[in-house]
Amino acid sequence: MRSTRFGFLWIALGILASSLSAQITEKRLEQGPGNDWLTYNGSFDSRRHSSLDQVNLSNVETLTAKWIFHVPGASRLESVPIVADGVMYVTQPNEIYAVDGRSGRLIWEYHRIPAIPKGLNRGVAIYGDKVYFTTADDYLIALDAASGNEIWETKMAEASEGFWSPTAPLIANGKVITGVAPGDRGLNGFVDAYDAITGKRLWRWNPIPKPGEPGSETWAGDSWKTAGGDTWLTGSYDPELNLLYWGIGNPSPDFNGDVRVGDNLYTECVVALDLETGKLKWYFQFTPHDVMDWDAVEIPILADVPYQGKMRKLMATADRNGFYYILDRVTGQFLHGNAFVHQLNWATGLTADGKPIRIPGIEPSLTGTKVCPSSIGATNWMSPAYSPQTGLFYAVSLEGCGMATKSTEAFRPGGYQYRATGDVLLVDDSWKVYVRAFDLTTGNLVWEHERVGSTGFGGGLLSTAGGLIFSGEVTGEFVALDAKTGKIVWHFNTGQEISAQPVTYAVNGTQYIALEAGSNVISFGLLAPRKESSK
Amino acid sequence: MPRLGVFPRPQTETPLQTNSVDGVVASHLCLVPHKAFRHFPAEERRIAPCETRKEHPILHNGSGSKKIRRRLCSAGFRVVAFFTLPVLLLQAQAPKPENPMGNGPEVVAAGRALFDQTCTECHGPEGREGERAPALAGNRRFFRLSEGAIFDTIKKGIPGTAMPALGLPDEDIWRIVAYIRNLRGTASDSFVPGDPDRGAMLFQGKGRCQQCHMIRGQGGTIGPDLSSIGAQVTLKHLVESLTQEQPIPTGYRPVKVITQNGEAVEGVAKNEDEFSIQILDTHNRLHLYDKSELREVVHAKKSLMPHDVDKQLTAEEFQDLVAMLSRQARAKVHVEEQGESEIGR
Repeated sequence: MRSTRFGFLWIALGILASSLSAQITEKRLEQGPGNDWLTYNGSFDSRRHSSLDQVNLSNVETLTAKWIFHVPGASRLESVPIVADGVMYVTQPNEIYAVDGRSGRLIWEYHRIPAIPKGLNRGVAIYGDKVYFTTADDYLIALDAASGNEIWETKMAEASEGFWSPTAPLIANGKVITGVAPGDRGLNGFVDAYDAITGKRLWRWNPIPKPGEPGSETWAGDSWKTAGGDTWLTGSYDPELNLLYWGIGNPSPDFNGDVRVGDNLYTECVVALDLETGKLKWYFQFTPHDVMDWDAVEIPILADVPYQGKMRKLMATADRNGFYYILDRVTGQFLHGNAFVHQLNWATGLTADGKPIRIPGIEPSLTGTKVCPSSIGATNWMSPAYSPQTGLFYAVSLEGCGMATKSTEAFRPGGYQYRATGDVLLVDDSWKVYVRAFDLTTGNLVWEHERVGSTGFGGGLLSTAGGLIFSGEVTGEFVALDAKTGKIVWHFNTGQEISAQPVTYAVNGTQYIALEAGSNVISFGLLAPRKESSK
Repeated sequence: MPRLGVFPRPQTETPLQTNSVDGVVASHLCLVPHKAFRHFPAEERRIAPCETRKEHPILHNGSGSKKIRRRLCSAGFRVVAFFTLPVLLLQAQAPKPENPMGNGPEVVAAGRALFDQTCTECHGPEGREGERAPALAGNRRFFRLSEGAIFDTIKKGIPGTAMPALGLPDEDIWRIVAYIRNLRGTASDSFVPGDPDRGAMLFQGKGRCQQCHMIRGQGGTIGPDLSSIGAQVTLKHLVESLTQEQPIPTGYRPVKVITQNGEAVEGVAKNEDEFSIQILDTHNRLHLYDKSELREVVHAKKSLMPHDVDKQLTAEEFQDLVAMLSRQARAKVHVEEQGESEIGR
């Protein structure tokens, strides 16, 4: 006899369990980060600014580790944990772990079988009662968020050709938007939209125009066929304009532009796509005819602020090429640009319409030329943040150069590298990593904090209403900075290399700040949180 | 010598694949492989320690080997090894069945007839263990894994034991080999008679399986997803899971909690320790509690899985259901063969 104490469960089983689980609605996605952290960048506008203020300047010194979740087999996690209703979803390639956000205890785990061991993964997206995930064999997978059961899978592109996806999807208005990383392999990227319920592909936008299409005149000969244009970082979305903003990666071959004479549209652009149709509304190209692998995939931050006396819908982004840009995101009009690193030797500035004024000869050569920034860029995948409280745009920036060379390497099908050489990073005393705060509307530097001892970027940034900027360093130091001054107000040595951006969330009135460090996820909270102060 | 990564891989087009051995990981029909694996007592785990892995030829092959080995030897190596290693092996090896007769259903049927005449007296029916000789299938490790090794044993006997050289024609020995390998394979490796389409109807309807179990996105979540069950357990185990009381797999123990506010929540415990519990209820909702928030936690002693499915259905219906379940192999898991990475005991 079964225990009668479990009567309810047995009765409930008599009714086919319907899906009554907590739903992640469009409205919740639009609200931005508070108790939940629902998208890669926290919100559609990608500000990475949370309204939580339980942890703030007055008490951050008592921030302490609450739990650690070790991701089996991981070495250098680079994903952003997604948190919904107290459940945290953590990924590494081909694997998802659902963890209790308060205790760090495992709820379920998913392993793709068979799994191609390739690249890295940047995290899940969540919508309705499902989580969405891209794989190393370039599938989009939907799983039941409560149980981890696989609901459907859709093949995005052919893995055997060299396609794969590390991208954390963005979900807007029931559409799952994904990107792809054929990673400098001469394969043309795409931005896809899939129906969140059925997994059916709704549209595909190709960054590389085919002959006869607008932009095709910017590619010499057949160079468009092996042209690149990755879409590997998550973009932003404006619900009011119904426009999706996505950064497009470098042209192929990366370092030899001789075989692809022209501006090479729409590589190195931010593009505004109509969410319903996938049609291009406007584009802005940061680096025409790039030869330094400066993918323009960096996260575009959307802000509605007064600009030169008038409210404007702005987009701000710090590009890998070393310039900070402000665009009107309705039209794509260039409004302002300035260098945000000192070590920038390839251009003297920007023209009135935002085009770089190049210095001839500062580009990869057969014998090697010093180019600043180096190919890893003045910034990279580490997410920037924007605080409406301070009006500051925060970005990780790297001062450094590379000795860049090119070659006549030919394209080989099958997913092989097609870079035509690269650069040797000149890591000397001048090579430094900073967290910098700029006035969003002027680009003026307000403060900077050096990540002392860092030879690599480290992770991106988190801004909170507690007046704090959280920043994880490649040295393993997790640091909190005063958002107004950049002064260090707290730190914790995680003991492992940090390459990911922190998030914050709250469960039952307690705020947590979580971060992936090396192979672990660590969640922090106040030693004795005063619950009444939480939002 | 440890037999590392050297094992036959039958061709996928044959309906009778005999590449896996039962009971290594899947002791329950209701299984989440990694958890079930972790749940096993140490002596039941079949993965060799890291020192053994260092000699692995596959892991030393190619540029990624060091990284892979580091991962294998990390704290979580068991899980990684279970999922990653087989894939690497699958990619690295061109599978080739050793059996010249093949592994088709007719070969297995002929092998069974020969086995019944020749072997059951000592080894028991279906190799389940007899009066005079050990089991050839079931929950044990095997010294002889490859088809060639089984063939040689039947042909030559084992000196110093009661196992004689049988003196059968080689073709008949190969037929017996096919049958023994079939006994050791997963359900999807076996030829299971019955109507899978009708089985699918029963899964949804009369059998009421779908209330708790999901297959390819359709069904409940209170029990394990069965989309790959045929590739995870043996046919024998599949049938026993439907007909006999089984231990509750990790993550599926029924539990009822009463909160400090008096609210009652019932479901299955996905995880629990002294300090917290994570519950999935029948409405597919997660409830995450700190133990300090709970007044009472009551664990059920038995699984929610009924074990009289064969009595609820007619014999024909039951066969159809088993036929359908045995074919569920969404993800073809290679369960590490017993002893493939270590010497038998």
